[in-house]
Amino acid sequence: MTSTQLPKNPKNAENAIPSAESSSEALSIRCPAWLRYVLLAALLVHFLGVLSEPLRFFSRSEIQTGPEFAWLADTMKPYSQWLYMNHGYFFFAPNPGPSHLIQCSLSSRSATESSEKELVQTLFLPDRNEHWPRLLYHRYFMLSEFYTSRYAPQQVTEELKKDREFMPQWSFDKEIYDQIQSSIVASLKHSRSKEKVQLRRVERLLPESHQVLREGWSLNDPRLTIVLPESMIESAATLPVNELPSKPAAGISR
Amino acid sequence: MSRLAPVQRGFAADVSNESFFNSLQDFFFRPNSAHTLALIRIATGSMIAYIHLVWMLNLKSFLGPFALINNATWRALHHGPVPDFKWTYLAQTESMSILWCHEIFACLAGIMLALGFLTRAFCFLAWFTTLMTVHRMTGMLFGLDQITLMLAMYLCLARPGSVWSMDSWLHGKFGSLFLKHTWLYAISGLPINARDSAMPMCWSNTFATRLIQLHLCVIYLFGGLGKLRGEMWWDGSAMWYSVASYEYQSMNMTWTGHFPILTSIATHLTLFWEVSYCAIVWPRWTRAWTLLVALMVHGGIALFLGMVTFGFMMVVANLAFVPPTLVEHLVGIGRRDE
Repeated sequence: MTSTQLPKNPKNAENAIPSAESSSEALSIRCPAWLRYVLLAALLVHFLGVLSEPLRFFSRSEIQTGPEFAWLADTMKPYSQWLYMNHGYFFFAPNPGPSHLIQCSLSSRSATESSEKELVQTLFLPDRNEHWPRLLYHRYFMLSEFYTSRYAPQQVTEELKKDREFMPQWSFDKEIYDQIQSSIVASLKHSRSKEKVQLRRVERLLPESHQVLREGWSLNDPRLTIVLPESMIESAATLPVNELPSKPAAGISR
Repeated sequence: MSRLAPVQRGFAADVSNESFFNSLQDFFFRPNSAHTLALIRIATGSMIAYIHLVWMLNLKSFLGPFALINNATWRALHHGPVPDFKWTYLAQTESMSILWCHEIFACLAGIMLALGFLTRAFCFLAWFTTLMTVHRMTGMLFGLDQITLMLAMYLCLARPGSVWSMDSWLHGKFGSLFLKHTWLYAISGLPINARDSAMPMCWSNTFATRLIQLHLCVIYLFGGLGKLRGEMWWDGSAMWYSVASYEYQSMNMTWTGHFPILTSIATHLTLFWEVSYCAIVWPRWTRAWTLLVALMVHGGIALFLGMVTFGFMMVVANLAFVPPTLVEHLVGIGRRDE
């Protein structure tokens, strides 16, 4: 390694000269000139990789993505993505928004035949009481946000069905969404030893300050919680989340 | 004069007397000690160990045949019609034994990095194993993973084990062993000429520090620009809506709603600080204030918004702007007080 030259070697002596200000004990290891040029060039490429994704992310609009930033991001993608540097850095931006949860209703087949209500278990992802430490809770929270972000409606309107650009994209998105759903359901069935699992996407809205401070709402007040529809034909329901949906279409059952 | 003096002079150098290129080289390559990076190393290694420990608490739900996002779904997400460049060997296996071995090893690598044992080797291993896990955990990641991996990656380039580490302790105790087996220098990251010096100063410490600093500036710049797009950050209500999120809340801060002017000031201070961070963190006379606000913002996120780990690692990343001599001095005072 160039930076660990022995001072006794005359070739490397100039790279290991004591710093002017340092005590006699301190020793400076300097970078060889040729390596500096290489590193500065590498640095340029590296920061193009760091900048590429936020630039692409910020230059998006409904009309287009800035073509030069799109090109840069595509070019740098192998590098920035593999090194896990391809982020938009949208922390709490553009605005703090509602949270998304997954409500899971777990039941076994024998339970549905006899006493369904008693044996149906409902849990949320994430759940503060169950998921501890906080980092574990946050992992489940991110999963529920991810699940919602990949949502694709189960049914679309007749008008959209005629859209030739929309349909292939919808079909692909739906396939991915269904696969994520199946994966979560299979995992819960296995970990909870249940035969039937039903998922619902739940959104918790942010309260206004007067609702909390004057009207006494808690932050987890049921009035702030809505069940999100699974198809474009349904609309969001402000059902109490502890109630199971009566229609299968309101949730996904597997 | 302090050991950092050359670097500090580098900031204030009269550019007109030097070529731009010389200033650039001075900025990136002037040798420096590793005290700041050693602190970052201890925090990053500990956090890597903790991250893997938490994955292991419920490993069957995160990895393996019955993972919440199983391998087939992972492949559909990343290697479908629009393939991407995520690759991890953890998506190739469903053997829980292999997955357990990986996580235990990654956790141990983090501990070794924190302790500074064979630092260079374990720094690379801690970074790589964490990267493999992160690539596999699609859908369950957040800022903590971004910052921790960024710091670990840049630490691999430096010599953060040359101070406050088992390596430096062992070197002092068993120097002859190092001389006999010079490969120990390579995997510990101690300079070979460390034997002639109690406190080696190396260009790679400066280089890695600069990379962390610049990367941090990019993060804050785009984080701030993102907020500029939202009306809540302009009308001053973003702070209220941040503390009013039940999922993020770790301490009830809704009482702040009784003081809308204060929450609005806090919102705007956060916004303007974040947008201007990349400019105001460099001059010496604004740096301390910039870092103080960073401590307040990330301390607030850690204490009140339920993200202790993320807030902590952002504070750790900001340490990159604290000169090594100051870190050495402060730790020295702490030790004397003990």
